[in-house]
Amino acid sequence: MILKSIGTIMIITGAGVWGLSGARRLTKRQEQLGELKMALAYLDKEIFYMHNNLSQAMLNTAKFASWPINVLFAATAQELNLKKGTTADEAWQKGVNALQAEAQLHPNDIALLATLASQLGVSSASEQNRALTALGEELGLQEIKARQEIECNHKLWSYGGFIMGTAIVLLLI
Amino acid sequence: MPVISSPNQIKTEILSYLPIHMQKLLNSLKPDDYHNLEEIRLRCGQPLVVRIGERELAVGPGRLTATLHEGYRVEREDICRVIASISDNSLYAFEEDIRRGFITIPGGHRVGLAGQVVLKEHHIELIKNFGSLCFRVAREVKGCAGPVMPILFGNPQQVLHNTLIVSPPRCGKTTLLRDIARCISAGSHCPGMNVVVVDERSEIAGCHQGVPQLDVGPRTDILDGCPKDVGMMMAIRSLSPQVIITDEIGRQGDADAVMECVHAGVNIISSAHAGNLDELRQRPILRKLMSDGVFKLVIILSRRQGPGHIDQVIRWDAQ
Repeated sequence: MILKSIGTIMIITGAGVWGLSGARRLTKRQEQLGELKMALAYLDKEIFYMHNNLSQAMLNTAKFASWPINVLFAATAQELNLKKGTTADEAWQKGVNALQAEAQLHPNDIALLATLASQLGVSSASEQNRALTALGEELGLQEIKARQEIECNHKLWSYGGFIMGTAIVLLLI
Repeated sequence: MPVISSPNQIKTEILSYLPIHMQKLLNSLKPDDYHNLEEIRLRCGQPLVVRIGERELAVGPGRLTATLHEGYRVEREDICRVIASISDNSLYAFEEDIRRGFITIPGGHRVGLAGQVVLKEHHIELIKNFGSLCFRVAREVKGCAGPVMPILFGNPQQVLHNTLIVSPPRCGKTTLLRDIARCISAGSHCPGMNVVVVDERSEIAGCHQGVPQLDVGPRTDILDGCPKDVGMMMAIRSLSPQVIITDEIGRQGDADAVMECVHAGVNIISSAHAGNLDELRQRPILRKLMSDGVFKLVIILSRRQGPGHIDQVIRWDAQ
């Protein structure tokens, strides 16, 4: 009886934690998309107004942004600062890969970020501004979608885990 | 005279901007070749070419060859990588330089750019789709002004003459101007004077981010990338120069600014493109400056015995 009770608690708790972490992922994604948008606006300022070199602009943005978003900019800056002939395209791709490993972003968000690679650093300041603004807007749309997803699915994930755990227990009994 | 272009200097200041495989190809250059290296040319789909003194050679695997088609063919990818490298992946930070057609890299070396030019209202908006690049090695020949300095001050009062240095391209005008700036500024062969270099094309001082990469002396201020006429007037107003040095005058605005300088009691040393005195006389703006007695001294250079050879010295007031 004691074993059954312990098992029941473990199943319900495990499923509940899984559900809560799913709900947390949704919230985190929305927060991170917002922060990413802000960081890109900062990068835009570094390029468009300050005319800082890309490696310096990335480094400054990395200092401005919080974890895990700063990983993207820090990794890109690090790659550029190696001065081994790496192009901005390659450095940004590495940064995006590093961010993907740390952040709660969807593959769609990552693919969107990766589109900037081919445009980064290779055109005039106004073109850079246009590209970064466009990406910021796209990320804004993703953020709205993420918010809608939270509204629809946050409760489902939060309670769903516990409900599923209970259902499993009932089935086993 | 020490020509400052050692193999190591060339390797770190220029070759490091090239992709690794090109660096390896250029390792076949001998130390003497580095000393005489003037240009490295990358043209999309064409052989990688170096100009060493009077020779133009293609760079092939392990050797230099006069047969151009045996050289390594430069690919668009190579050009893109070099552009990314020289601009630190930040073309937007070099917009003005690109409009002028070149980027100056640390060491004062210039990378000339060619590609698709985009115009806006008859002005160059930008260059895109770069098709070729030309690295021009900045050559600092300290002491090359030595023979010229006594001529510049060659009067009993030891007063500096307003001087025009004349030659066709690639005869060492800019190198001579740079060393004259250094000597006058450092007070070698004369009392030290405040010098302003109006360096419209960043050739004299080879400034990178505002800092001269080549020695132009301790009392020298540089207006880098500044149009000559604007720079000369600006210098008179704000920098109290005793001497203004500028390269390649030829426009009416330049002539007007030179006149202003002379009337303001500032000495001018400048250069102009012309093969000889007759060619110089055929340029109306320069002829007017001469006939107005602005320049008292004309030094004509040639490559007869290598760049910087003084072919003729003409005291204009004696003509």
